[in-house]
Amino acid sequence: MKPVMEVSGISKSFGGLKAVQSVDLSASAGKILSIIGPNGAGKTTLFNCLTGIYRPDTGSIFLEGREITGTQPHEVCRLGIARTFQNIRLFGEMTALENVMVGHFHHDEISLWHILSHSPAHRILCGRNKEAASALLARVGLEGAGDLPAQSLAYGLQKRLEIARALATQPKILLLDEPGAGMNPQELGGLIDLIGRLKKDGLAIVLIEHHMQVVMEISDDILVLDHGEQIARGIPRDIRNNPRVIEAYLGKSSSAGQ
Amino acid sequence: MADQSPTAKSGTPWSLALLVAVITAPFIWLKVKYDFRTGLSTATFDPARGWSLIAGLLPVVLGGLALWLALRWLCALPQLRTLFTTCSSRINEHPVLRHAGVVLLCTTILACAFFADNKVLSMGVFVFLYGIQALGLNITVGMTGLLVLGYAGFFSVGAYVFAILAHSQPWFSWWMALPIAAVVAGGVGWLVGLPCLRLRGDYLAIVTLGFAESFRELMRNLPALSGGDKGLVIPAAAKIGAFAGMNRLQACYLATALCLAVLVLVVHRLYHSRIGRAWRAIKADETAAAAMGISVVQMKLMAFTLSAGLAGIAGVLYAGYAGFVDPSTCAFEQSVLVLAMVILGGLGSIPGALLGSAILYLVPTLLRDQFPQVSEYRLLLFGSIMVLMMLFRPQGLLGKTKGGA
Repeated sequence: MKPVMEVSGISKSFGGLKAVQSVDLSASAGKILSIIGPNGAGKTTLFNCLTGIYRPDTGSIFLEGREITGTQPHEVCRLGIARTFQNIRLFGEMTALENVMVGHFHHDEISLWHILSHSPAHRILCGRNKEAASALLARVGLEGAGDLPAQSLAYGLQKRLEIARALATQPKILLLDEPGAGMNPQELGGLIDLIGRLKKDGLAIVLIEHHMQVVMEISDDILVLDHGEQIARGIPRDIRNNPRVIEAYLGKSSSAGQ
Repeated sequence: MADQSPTAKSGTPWSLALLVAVITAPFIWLKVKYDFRTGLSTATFDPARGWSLIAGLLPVVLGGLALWLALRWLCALPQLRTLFTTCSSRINEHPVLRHAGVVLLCTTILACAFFADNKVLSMGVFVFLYGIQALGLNITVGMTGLLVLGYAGFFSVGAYVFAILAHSQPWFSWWMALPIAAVVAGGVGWLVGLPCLRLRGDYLAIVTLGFAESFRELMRNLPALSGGDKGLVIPAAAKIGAFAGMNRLQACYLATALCLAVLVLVVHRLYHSRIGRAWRAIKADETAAAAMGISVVQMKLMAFTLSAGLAGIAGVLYAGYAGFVDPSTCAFEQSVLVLAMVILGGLGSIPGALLGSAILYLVPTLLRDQFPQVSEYRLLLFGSIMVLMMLFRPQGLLGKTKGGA
């Protein structure tokens, strides 16, 4: 099957620091690619390059055969790449439902006149948006939390709300930046279920995660970064036994993450 | 009282407020005199002046304190609280009740035009004018989170557009000026915003400040066009209200009230649409907003253009009411006053902006009538109110309520 996104030779430096060095990856529909590596390995920088927040120094990004390198972040989102953030970046004072509805922004375009006159067309759109947003909240397990301000939700729920917001942009690829960080084992179980369901729905998922248990359980493919370099790539079983990976990452403690 | 206040947990705000008070208090005993011949100002010590100010302010402060304590006591009563929550939930359940409230308010305002005296009417005009400006500035500062320090510049653009057009074309009327000035002021806002809204950070604050100052100097130094320092008299303004048996003041009052009502509806609709959500998302987190597909630059420009357009409308209304425009319409003090209204009312809240503008216009105006010496210290009062707001209720009077509008 042809991959949805293909990335080749991406590099990004900040001054003398080579944060990402010629990394290749590809993401396919219904597959989970995990990116692992020690802190400071360049995982989030890679995400920022993929979503247009940083312009990579070299390399190219192809989405469904079309080059999108250097595209603005909002354009990248419109083209079908959605993301969550390592540190929660919700719109805190807005309600959970409104947060999700923000994700609808680029596919509920309607003329200003319809908005100002609150025409039937706008009413229908509003109703449909609200329904779609509620359905998404239910999908990530946030039923009934729609009217609460995002910042008042518990930590684990905020992480889920970020996923719902990203899904509202109707992406082809979902980039999850440490969705399990700070979660307890029970919450992690719920998260694994959720990501599994998204995968089944045919979404291409790229996951940055520190919990080895999660990564090994759900990944179809793993990419290991260290000091910005790609040191290994393969299916979970191979990565687990790869001597370079053990040296760079798992070597210090064979049960890292748990 | 400090131990009752939930926000003053550490006690620091009170000691800080006291410190500010101690530092600023000596100034009320100073009398500053400006000598027009030498251009020098001299400050002299004037004991009587300070005491008379204190004597004038004391009843206001004590009255305010008593009111505040009474309100606190009332709010603490559990019966009253349950009554309030049931009332507000009833109103939310039955939109008819809310509509009835709006209709009642509109009828009262309309009735005032025919039954209130001239003084009340002209105060009403200013309440509505400041309401429009606070509403407009609230779009950028409150909803989108962009600081604007030269808002009066766009107000002035609107006023001058009307004045200059009316001066050159005798047939030109107030009503025609409204859309034209809105478009011109909005266009100027777009041009001013274009270079600096592409950048992150508070560049807009400084650029708009510079714009307002330059525009004032421009108007002062183009006597052929703008009448220079003397300003322009607008003959067309005298013709306002020559219909339906109304006088000029009644017509001005109704026109500003109508404009305000329409603009409140416009901003309310936008606030709850995808555009308003995009603005609020940008205010909360620009990076996340962009990652959700919002074209940040475009939405910021739209907010600022609209904001400037509203100022232009207020400018035309003011010029029509006053019949006269001069460079003081874009004084920095005016920009700060409108900003203070938005902050006092609560950033991002439409009722807050209206309440803030009414309070900050009415309180000094009424005080001026009662205690003439107090009005000289208007700015000192504003400053104190702002400091106290920041310390004890940073979200503003009506800020951070669910939905906000």
